[in-house]
Amino acid sequence: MIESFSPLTRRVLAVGLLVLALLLAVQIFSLAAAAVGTALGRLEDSRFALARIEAVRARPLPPRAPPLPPGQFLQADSHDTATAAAAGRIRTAAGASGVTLEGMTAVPADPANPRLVRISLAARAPEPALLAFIQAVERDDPPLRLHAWSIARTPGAPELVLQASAVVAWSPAQ
Amino acid sequence: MSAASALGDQAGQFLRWWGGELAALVPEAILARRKPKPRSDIKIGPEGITIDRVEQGLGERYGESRPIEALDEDAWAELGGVIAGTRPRIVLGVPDIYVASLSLPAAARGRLNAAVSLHLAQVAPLDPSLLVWTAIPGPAEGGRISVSIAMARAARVAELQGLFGDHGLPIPSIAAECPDGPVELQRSGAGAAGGDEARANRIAIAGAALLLLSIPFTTVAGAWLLSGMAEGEAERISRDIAPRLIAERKAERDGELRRALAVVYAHPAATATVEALALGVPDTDYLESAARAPDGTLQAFVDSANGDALRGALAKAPLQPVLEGGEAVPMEERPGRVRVELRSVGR
Repeated sequence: MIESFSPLTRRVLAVGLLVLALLLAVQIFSLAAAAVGTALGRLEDSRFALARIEAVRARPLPPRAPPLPPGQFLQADSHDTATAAAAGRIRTAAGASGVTLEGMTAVPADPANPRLVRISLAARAPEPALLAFIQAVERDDPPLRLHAWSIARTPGAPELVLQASAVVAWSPAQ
Repeated sequence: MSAASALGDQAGQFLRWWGGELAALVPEAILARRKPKPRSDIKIGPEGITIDRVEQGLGERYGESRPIEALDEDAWAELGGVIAGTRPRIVLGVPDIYVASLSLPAAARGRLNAAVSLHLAQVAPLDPSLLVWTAIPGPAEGGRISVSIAMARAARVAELQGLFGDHGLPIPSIAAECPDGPVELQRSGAGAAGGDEARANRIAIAGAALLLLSIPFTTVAGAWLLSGMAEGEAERISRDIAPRLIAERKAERDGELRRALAVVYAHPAATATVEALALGVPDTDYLESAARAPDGTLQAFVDSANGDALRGALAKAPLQPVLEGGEAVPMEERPGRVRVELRSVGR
């Protein structure tokens, strides 16, 4: 059959076949390289995972600590829920004591102390009401404490101004 | 003739055609650089032997008037010297060679050897199994092709090759003298040492190629096996350490909670401090302001009637941390009273 073609056609055919053969060889080589790469990648991954898990097994067990009494912290699903609960307690105390809350801001969670809720607040009231408010905020369990605070008289007015940072611990349900 | 051999025939023909076409593309300049291997054509006739030695395009002719069977040891040694370092080839002429012609359909060209072997019995003077032969295709005409078949007795070929082997010379290949030049009949005889060596070489090369090609497969298989083992081991360990991971997570959560509680309980409750301050100040004095810094430091300003009395009263108050009075500064706006700054001590 090939003899029926012109010499030029035969030459072109031969070169075309050579190119096809080379492309096929490259394709096969790259397929093999990809398969080898995948297999070696999986081996590396599994060895890394094994080394990691062996390191976990080798580290010392955590020391046994006495359990924490559940009344010491808010039980909440998240930092936000805990913040909302603490803010609610502060608002309730303010309402009960007749204190005007001038501002209340939740401080974003500190990655170094993720189970602590901090709320900055400012309140204004006559002295007895303000003292009752502080007492009401700090009275119940779990303990909500005014960590840092300042109380000052307002010149020419019978009211005191309180600025404080309230803190409470929280933990998800165990 | 089996289908497999026909296929092999066709594949061989295709490869020869393809190789030929590609070789024709190689520039002359490159081909000219390749030095052809020296060769010796040993022409054996009834009257004597002629050896044409061709080396680097230069030919030399040696003659021997005795038939090959009549050569003595000295003559064989001389012949060995002449063909040394060349590729020897015995070129047989009449009467060792018999040439017959066949006319075949042009379609048979693709599987010439198979077609000729079918018709060989009709044209050969001997049983084809006693012959070595080669088919030389001629021009095609009117849908048919004429084929010349050069044949020699296999026994004669073996005998001649055996003579060379007996005298410790390389076994020559066999060619038939044809009008267009010698045509190879049979490569250095089957079963001869040269053939064995060539076959061993081919097997070694094929084996090496197979080993090279197997590298990806063995690598993939080995990596698959090893990763399977590592994954199994990791799974076993992770089952073993599951309880300790739970304990570690709980210990970590407890640690975080203890850090938070440490801040909550860092200082006494503000209620207690404020009340103690209010109660600790004498009735004649007023608290102007009080503050606790994050580090627990207390600071207060007291509008006092008597600084000494204030300090004395504070010393008795149940205050934590203990407050110490600073200097009493007379207040300009309220004559007779002093302002005292109180600061915590011991922190």
